[in-house]
Amino acid sequence: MRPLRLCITGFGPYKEKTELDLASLGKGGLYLVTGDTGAGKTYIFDAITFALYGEMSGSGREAKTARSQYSDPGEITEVELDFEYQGKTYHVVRNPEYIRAKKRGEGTATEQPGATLSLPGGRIVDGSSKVTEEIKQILGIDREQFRSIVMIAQGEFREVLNSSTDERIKLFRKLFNTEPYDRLASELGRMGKEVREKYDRKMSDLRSAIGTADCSFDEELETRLEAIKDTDTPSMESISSLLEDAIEVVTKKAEINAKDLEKAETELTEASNRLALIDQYKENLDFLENAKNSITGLDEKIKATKKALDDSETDKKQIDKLKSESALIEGSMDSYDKLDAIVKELDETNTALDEKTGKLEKAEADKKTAETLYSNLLKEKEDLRYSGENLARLRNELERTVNRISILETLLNEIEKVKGLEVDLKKEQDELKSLIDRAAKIDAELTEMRTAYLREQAGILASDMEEGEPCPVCGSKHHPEPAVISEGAPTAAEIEIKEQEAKTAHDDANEKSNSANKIKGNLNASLFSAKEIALKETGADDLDEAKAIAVRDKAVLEEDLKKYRSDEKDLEKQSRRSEEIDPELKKAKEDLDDLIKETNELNNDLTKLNASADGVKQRKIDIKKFLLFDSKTEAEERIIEIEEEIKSKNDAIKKRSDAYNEAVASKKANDARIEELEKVVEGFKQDDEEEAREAGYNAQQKKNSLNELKIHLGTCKMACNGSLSKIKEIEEDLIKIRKEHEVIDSLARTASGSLSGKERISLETYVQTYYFDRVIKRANRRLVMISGGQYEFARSDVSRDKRSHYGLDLEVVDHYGGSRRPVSTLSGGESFIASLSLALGLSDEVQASAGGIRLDAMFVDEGFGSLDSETLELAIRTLTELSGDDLLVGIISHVEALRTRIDKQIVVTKDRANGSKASVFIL
Amino acid sequence: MKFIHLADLHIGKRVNEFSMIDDQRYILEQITEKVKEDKPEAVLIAGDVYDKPLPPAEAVKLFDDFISALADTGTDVMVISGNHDSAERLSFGSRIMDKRGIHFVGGYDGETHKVTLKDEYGCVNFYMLPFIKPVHVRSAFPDDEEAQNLSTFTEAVDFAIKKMDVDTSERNVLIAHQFVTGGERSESEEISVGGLDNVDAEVFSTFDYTALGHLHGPQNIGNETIRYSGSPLKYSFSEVTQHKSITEVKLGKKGGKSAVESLVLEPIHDMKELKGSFYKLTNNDYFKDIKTDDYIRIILTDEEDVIGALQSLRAIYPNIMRLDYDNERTRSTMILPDTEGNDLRTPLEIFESFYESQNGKAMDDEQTEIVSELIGKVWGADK
Repeated sequence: MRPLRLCITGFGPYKEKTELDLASLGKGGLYLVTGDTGAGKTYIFDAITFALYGEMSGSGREAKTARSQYSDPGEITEVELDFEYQGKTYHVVRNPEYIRAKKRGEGTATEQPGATLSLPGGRIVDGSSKVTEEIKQILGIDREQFRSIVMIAQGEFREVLNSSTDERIKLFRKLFNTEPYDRLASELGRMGKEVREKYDRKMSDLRSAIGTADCSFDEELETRLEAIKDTDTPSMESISSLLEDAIEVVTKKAEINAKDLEKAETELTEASNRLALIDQYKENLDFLENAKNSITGLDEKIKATKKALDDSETDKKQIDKLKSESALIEGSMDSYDKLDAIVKELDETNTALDEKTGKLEKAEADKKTAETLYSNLLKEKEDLRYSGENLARLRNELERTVNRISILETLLNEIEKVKGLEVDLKKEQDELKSLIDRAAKIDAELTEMRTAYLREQAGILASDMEEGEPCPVCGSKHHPEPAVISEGAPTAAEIEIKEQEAKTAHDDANEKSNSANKIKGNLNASLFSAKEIALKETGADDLDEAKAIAVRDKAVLEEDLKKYRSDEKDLEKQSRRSEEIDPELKKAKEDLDDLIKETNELNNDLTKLNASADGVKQRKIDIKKFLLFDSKTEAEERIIEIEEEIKSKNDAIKKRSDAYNEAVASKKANDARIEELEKVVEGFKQDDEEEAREAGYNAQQKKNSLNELKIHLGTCKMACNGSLSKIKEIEEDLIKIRKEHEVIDSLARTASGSLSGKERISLETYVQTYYFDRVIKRANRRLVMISGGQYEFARSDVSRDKRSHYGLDLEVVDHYGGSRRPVSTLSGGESFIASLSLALGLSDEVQASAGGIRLDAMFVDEGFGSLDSETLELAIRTLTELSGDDLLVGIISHVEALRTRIDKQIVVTKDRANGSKASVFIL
Repeated sequence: MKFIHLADLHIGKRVNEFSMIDDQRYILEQITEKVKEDKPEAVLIAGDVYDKPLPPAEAVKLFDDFISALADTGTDVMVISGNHDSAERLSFGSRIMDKRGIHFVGGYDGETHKVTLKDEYGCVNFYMLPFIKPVHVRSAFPDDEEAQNLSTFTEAVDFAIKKMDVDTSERNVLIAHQFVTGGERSESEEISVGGLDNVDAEVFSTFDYTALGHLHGPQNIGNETIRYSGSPLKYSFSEVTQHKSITEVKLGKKGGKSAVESLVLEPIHDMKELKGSFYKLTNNDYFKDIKTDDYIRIILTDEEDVIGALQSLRAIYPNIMRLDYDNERTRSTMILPDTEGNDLRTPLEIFESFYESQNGKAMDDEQTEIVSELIGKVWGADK
């Protein structure tokens, strides 16, 4: 188990999360954990042990109190460890029980111990004890073994040295797989126990078999049996002989008893016979008396039955009467048929009656409805009389209004037109003005141009002039200063153009003037007509005023128009209706008449039916006068009744006659019997009843007791037989068991080391001593070196006392003194190096043997302070040599000299305020 | 230029619980006498002055006496710290003492202290390199990339030497305290926990003489220009055959020949081993001619431990340091337990021999059968 990374939070003096990269310490060699006292060195090893097993490195240190006193209530306490084992990496996180602040709300809560282990391959194990269990499986050792061979805790190294054989047995069992031997020993022990139990059981079987034997028939035998029962281990012979004797005796006795029994039986039979005869005689006497007594009774019975029989005559007469009644009824069956027919007819008539009544009622109802309808229609017709007139009147009004409206519209149009024309006129006039202006302008320009042209004549002339040529004006041939054409002087062509322009302008103006005038003319005409209309229609002269009035009136009229139009619609509807109503009226009248007719008819029918019904009723009454019953059915019932009565009467008569015959016969029989019995009684011989009874009683008693004896003897014999055979069986088994026991017992006792008188070493321990010897040899290599050849370990050959187990006790050989001493006599420093050597030897052997448990790391907590500098040097040398390349040995020590010797260090510094800090230094 | 080279005084050391202080005092006085006689220009002490970083008071006093005595002779004294010394403590007052020609060098800060002395041929530079490990060089040159990558002792020392910028036209002497490859170790030296602390001799090639300390046996490495003076006294029984000495070097001109001579030391108590049976060693004839008050390791050849051996022997040899046995038993202790034996015996065989030894007789057939059946069951269940 090589730790790779350790992370401590809130644990011991480590408040802050402290991470130590232990992988950087390498795979082998020594490293030192150093720091001031109380800085937290041991807590590092505690953390490792805790992460693995949930407990601290030394006893007396508790995980419960591990929470750092520096931690705030909100901080956690936790240890994380990554470690490597057999090439695989594992990650375990664990926390102890501690009190922290509640996550929600005030106050504190207890965080339960918890752990999580991540295995290579992804599987996760959760839960404190589960993780510990898993780690045990993985590493192959539990915490105790860990403490013994991997973690030498502070102040506890002596324990390994001083432990007793029992403790070592447990340790070695785990380390060297000697458990099978232990199991073998316990198996043997179990087998031995089984055999013993079998033996015990057999012995108790024997005792119970003896118990079943019964010798109560003989006093002497009984005494012998009791004596045997009292002994613990009865001998087979004495029992067998006793039982055989008993069987002999009992058999003899049984024979005698059988004979006696026979005799008694005979006596008893005799006695019984006598008694039987006496009883019979007595019985017969009784019978005789009884028969004689019953004569009287029988005679009386005959009398009675006779009388009853005679009375039957009355009944016969009654029967005849009933017969005639029946015949009578039979005769009137026809009439009954008739009656039934009439009843049926009556029913039919009633039905018809009901039907008719129903129809009548309906017809009446309909009639009423038709009447109502007719009168309504009449009334409606009356109302519509005037509608036509109203409509015509309305239409007139409507037309008038429409006309007026159109006139007003015309007026408005005219006015608009006028207005329009006014606008147009203005426009034209404006345009005219502008055109005139333009023409004027152009004129002006033209005049100017002309003037300029004229003025330029001189220049023009001059330009045409040649020197020497005479001037057209003055005729001079010499032109010293010809006139110059000024800039912008217009040419004749330009003037012509301009003149054309002017002309056009003037034409435009004239045209425009004309059109304006035309418009004006229109305007005046319209104005005139509009004013006319306006005056006529609105009485206003002014067009604007007129317009306003017209608009107002028009609006009113349009409103009226609307109303008229809607009224018109209503009235039109009404007039349509009045046309429709006449045929309806006609039809209604017709319906009504029909219905009246119908009701009358129905009434007539009804009356007729009633009459016929009365007739039928009368007929019914007539017939019924002659009949007794209301219906045929009733009559038939009566007939059946009569027949039954007759039958019962006949039965009664027969019974009486039977009774009489019987009585007679009984008397006859009785008389015969009496005769017979008298004969028998006479022929009997007297005997003494009393004596006979006694004899019989005695005989019985004798027989009973003899029987009892027989049974008793039989039981005893059976018991003894059974007991004997059982005992023989048991004897055989016991021999076998005893032999088995011998064999196994010694094996079991040997294997468990409980042979009395011998030193108590068990099989397992024997095997373990072999390993222990090897461990000692390895340990000695170191011890010899460190102690300068002075000390060596030896296994003690003799136990201190013969009671406790021995075999793995340790002694120290002092070569300087040549003596052997118990380990406890070593000094502190010597104990330390001795236990260190032992631990090293043990771990060496564990790895070398086939156990497969690999220890890649070791931890030694203090102890070096007790060594002087030379021994310290030797110890370091030993550890270094041991560690080599594949064992990482960590030592905690405050010894100053080690700091300079060992390059790989974990330095722990204490800060009283904030908890400790630790970090890895590789020099 | 003549100088004396010694090292590994280990003042205050205890060997097998014997305090060596008196022997050390005696030998240091002897050395002082030699210095007075020969009058060298310098005395070089190549480390391990004390045995522990915190030496006992008497050790400090003794060394004080020694240095003062040397100083009084007028010679320059150069002392470097070794792996046993506390560098800082050893170099206390060094800057003051420098002025008087007494030079102490404890720590290494990148600058190697150089003392230059003159002779008729010119300058001789004495470079004083205390005991260093790679970590010291790395921390002296935090910004130097090459320094940060140093990992072995050879590389570290080589680097330090390079940094000295030695002028090879002049004569140069190095005082160093290291374990040089090829050197023979004695039991009393301290091995570094970790192992590989050796320096290859090549790194010293720039120097005309390298005065080494650390190994306790006087020896040359290669030739006599790289040399361990050895400790002045025998400190372990592995040194019994050595002749303890100090080294005297006469340095010629550059490129010329130098003379290296050992001056033998005679201690009060020699260290030796005596081997024989108890009877022989306690026989008057045997010990009447030998110095019985030397530090002795007695090896008894008796097969059995002699009761009260130590006490009896001490009566004759008062300074017996160690008692060992050389017999069958001790020889077998050294042999590792072999893997024969139980591992090859079957459980049944083991049971049989166990039964026999406990009951005095063997098991009968029936018992054997029962046991072997059970064994099959128990061991079979394991598979």
